Amino acid sequence: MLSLFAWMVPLAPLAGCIACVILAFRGDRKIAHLPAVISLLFAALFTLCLIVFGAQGEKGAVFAGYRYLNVGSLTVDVSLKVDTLCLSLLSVVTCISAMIAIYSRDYMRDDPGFARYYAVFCGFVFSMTMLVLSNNLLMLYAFWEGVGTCSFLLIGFWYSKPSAARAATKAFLVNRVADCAFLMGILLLAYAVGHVEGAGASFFARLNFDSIFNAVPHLAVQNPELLTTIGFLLMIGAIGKSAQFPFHVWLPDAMEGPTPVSALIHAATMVTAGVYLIARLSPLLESTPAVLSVVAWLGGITAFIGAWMALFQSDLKRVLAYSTISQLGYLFMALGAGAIKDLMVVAVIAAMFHLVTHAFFKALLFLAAGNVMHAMGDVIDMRRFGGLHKVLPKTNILFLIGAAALAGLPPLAGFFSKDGILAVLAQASKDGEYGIQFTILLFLGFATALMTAVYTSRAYFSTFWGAEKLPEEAGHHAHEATNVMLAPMVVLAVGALSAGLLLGPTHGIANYLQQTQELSWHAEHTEEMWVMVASGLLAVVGIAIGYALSKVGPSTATTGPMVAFADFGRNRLYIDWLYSVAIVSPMEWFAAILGWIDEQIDSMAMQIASLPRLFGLIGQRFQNGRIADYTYMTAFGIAALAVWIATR
Amino acid sequence: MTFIIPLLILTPLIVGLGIFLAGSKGNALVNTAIWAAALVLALSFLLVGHVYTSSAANDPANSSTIVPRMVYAPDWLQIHLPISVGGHKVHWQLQFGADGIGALLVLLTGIVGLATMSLATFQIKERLHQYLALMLITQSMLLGVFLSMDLLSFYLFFEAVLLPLVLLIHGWGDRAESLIASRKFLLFTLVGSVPMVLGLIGLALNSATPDRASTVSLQALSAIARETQLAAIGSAVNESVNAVDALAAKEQWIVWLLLLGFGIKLAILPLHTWLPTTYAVAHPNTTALIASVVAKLGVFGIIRIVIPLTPIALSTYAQMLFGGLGALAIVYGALVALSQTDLRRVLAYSSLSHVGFITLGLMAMNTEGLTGAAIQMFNHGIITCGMFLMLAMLEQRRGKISLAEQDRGLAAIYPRLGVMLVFFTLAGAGLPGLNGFVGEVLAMSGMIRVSGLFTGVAILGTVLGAWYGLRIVQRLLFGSDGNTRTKSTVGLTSDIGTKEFTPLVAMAAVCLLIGVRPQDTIRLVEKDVARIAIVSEPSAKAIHPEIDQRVAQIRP
Repeated sequence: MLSLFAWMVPLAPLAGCIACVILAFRGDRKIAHLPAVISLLFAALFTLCLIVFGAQGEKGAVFAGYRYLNVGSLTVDVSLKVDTLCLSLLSVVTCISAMIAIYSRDYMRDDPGFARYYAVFCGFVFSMTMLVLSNNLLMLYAFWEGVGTCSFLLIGFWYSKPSAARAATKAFLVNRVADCAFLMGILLLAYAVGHVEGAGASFFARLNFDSIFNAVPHLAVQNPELLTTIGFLLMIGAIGKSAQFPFHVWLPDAMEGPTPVSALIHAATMVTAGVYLIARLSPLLESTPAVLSVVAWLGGITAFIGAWMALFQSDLKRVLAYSTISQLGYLFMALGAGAIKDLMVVAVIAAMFHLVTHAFFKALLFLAAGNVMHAMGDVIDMRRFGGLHKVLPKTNILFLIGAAALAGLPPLAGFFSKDGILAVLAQASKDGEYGIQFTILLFLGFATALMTAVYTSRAYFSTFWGAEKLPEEAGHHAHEATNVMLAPMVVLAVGALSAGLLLGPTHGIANYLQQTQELSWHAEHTEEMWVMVASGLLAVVGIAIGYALSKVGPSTATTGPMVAFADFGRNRLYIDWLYSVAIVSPMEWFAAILGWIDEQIDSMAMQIASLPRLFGLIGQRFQNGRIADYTYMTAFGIAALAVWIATR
Repeated sequence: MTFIIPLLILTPLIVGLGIFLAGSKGNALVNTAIWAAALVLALSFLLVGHVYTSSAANDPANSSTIVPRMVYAPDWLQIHLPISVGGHKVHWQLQFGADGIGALLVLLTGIVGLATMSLATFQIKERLHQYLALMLITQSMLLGVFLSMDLLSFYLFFEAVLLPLVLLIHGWGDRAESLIASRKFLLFTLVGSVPMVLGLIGLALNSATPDRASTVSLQALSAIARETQLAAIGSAVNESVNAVDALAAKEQWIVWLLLLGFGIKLAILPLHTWLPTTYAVAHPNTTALIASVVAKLGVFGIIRIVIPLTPIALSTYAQMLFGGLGALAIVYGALVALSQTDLRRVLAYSSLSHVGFITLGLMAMNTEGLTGAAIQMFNHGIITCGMFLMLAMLEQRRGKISLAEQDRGLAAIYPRLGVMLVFFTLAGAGLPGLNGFVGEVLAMSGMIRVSGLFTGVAILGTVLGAWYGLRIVQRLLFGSDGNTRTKSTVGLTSDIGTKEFTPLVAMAAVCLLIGVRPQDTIRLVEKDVARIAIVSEPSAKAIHPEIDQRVAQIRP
């Protein structure tokens, strides 16, 4: 029975996807939301069944599918692994995707690609659920690419817009760079697990998580350098998908896609896959503290620069995009704390908690931004509208809930989960070896918390308060969103309001996650009261600053350190520019040079081919038809022959 | 069931020649040609089914590493020569047969043949019947190569493929350059064939000993190679003189000659330059056949002859060189593809890049690598055929396709073509769940046991592969709604019709099927690969030979 439930979770969206593809080809466009929404609701229902019926003591179950590869010494099966770690993410994915599918019905109503939208949407949910449920790394990689492809197709959904097409390509390629390191890590891992003594009966299915975790202790003793290399490569995959520095450049551009897609893929689900990967592989990465320390640094840097860039964006969706990058940095910072002995489980729990709450409030914020965009005639520049609380009263309240949760105002969801991460960092900063690193990171965490509150409240106040201002694109029909759009947002808002209080102080999520085998041993978690107070205070102060900034408007000063700070933030720290100058253009030049070399090789080969003709030309000189020449040559030949015979 | 083999080779040959003999009346025989191609496809399915169910390769007493599941060796195919080799008169039995690898390529030839010929009826406007006749003759020669089970007929068919191809390139290619291109093609391949024939003669002569007559049968030769290798390894353990090195040195010249011959055919760097020129000049419909099947002849020769018959010499002298060249070709081809603007040339270099994966898998010389190479031969054939067929459709609608022009937005005008182009591009870029991924990942997981460096280089190639693939998609399909551009005057302005769409959908279905359930296809070749691996795996270079030993211990 459980096996059926588990398989139905991914298969229901797949069925929805197939139905929508058929509709897309037939052209019956306006009913495509029905199979999509129904199948996604079913997926959510089956996830709920798994949670309810699967909670009776089993630490994790594997449901067999079919044999994918069986070559030489390598076996890969398609099978599902269900435990509480994957269920916690699975419930987020299915629940939020169902909500957003409902929301999209009215949002995408007038689009000619309605069925195509839902087809890819369902395809994404299928890939994402399979990714979460994978029992081995190769299968995880396969669906990792699958979600990337769906993301590509959805970012480029309005493909006739050049900016959307470029953003889609950029997202796919940046991810692909990270993924190739990931794949190399997987291949090396398969090789290393085969190489290690003591892997035993699971030798053939070496990419199954259980086999990997069995082999890791041996490998850590026999070949620690190789294990660190593998950990590093796998980490690159994770930070690529989760848009961490230095791979974060694709995510802001991904906002070219429809807003519900941004909410689902680029805020709530796909971008958290990297976090899930590291959480899933925590028994492996635990043995490679160096890798986790790098993870923590990258997370800290990303959290800070993400917030920095978010401060100076005028595009509402981009503020949210950079905010997502920054919050994901938080998650990675927390995971990095696993570098310290015995802290991995606490770190994973803190990260998963923030992942869940963030998914709710960030999806809510994006959908609210979608409402604004819908009402404003697709204008999303905050400088061109303002004071919308009368035009969009309900959206105003929903956005406020999401923003307060993101800013970390107690007692909303963001406050508890962010506090959990800061507490883990505070705990880590007491460590001897990595203490200094985590003290710096803790400081970065607090600074980011303050900046988060600032940009969030600035975005909120400048959008909904102040003098009412509407762009001309909005026309006279600026209106509140329909109830079909608002209802799913209410569900998300309830999550953003209550999830923190329900799961955090009660240790609900910690107890639940510890039913997973790899996270089962007792985690010592210390509450730090001062952290909680400080982060609460920072939120309030930040909101006040943000309110003041929204009143002041853009600064008119032209010099000084603040201007440079702002300039950098506005220009994305020049990282995109640096990539195009230092990587993309040189590669294109190199390609052009190789193209030229190739032509030279070709002409060289053709010159060699003309050699026989050259010989022919030399011989031709003697075949000139003059009897005298022939006589001389004959005489010469006879003389040579005579000399040869005489000397023998 | 052995009647399938002569039927497979002779049906297209007879129909093709018949259309030629019919002269101007051949015009009416267009449908016959298509039906012949369909018959070939049906027969190849039968053949695959038979190989699938046959248990001939399970016999442990059979010491050959090449075991055909069905053999066609009639008496009239015996050759008696009035010369003696090693004290024995020459009596060679020519034979045809199908093992798993051969059957897979026969199937590929069948699929590609039917697809290219049925779409040619939309593409080729002049002398269509002659075009189809030549395609059929090419197909027959190709099937002959894949089905031959002896050196002599292998060589004959291998060379005979050239003749109809040169006519196809010259007769239906670009007017201005087709003469140069077909000449280049002929020159390069003939330069390759001379060393190859010398190598093949060397193999046949080597097989003769005082108590054994010379043979050309691959089955017998592979058994001899296995015995020789076992003896060499055995004596290497007992004696101080290294018999393995001696054996490698003795066979060295054969390996180099053969690799030179096959290397030119598979366009190994730096002997590849015939390939882009040919692909760029021939009609894309012809190129679809060349790129997907003819370009596989070189790798097929290596997996059929070089690896089973001279494994030790191969691994001693050429494994790392060719493995490195394969890895290099992946990156080189992808980068040069990025620099090209003519879509034909982009696809040509992308094909070069993909064949690099096959070479990489072959030169791993272990089970994973060889399986990957065998599967990838088929997969790449399907994908590249689809790409070139779509290129033909696009050119028919828009004239020569240049990527210098950005944001054409063709997806809005040709939605079906757009969907298929995105699909095949993703398959070519090695997206998991589609067939390209399976072969690539197997080839790389084989190679990682031989060289981490080459694997790393190959993986870089997957990024570049996605880069040029998406460049095509973005510049051609996306960026505008397409209607703002002036339409070409060449011909059609509408999206592809159902008859053009169906072959593409069928091939896409094959891509998806293999990508989702690769094990079914792998099962076709796994016994053959396992047999070849008996000789190739112990002789292959490996970073850690322990793995192979442990596999042998755990698996009975």
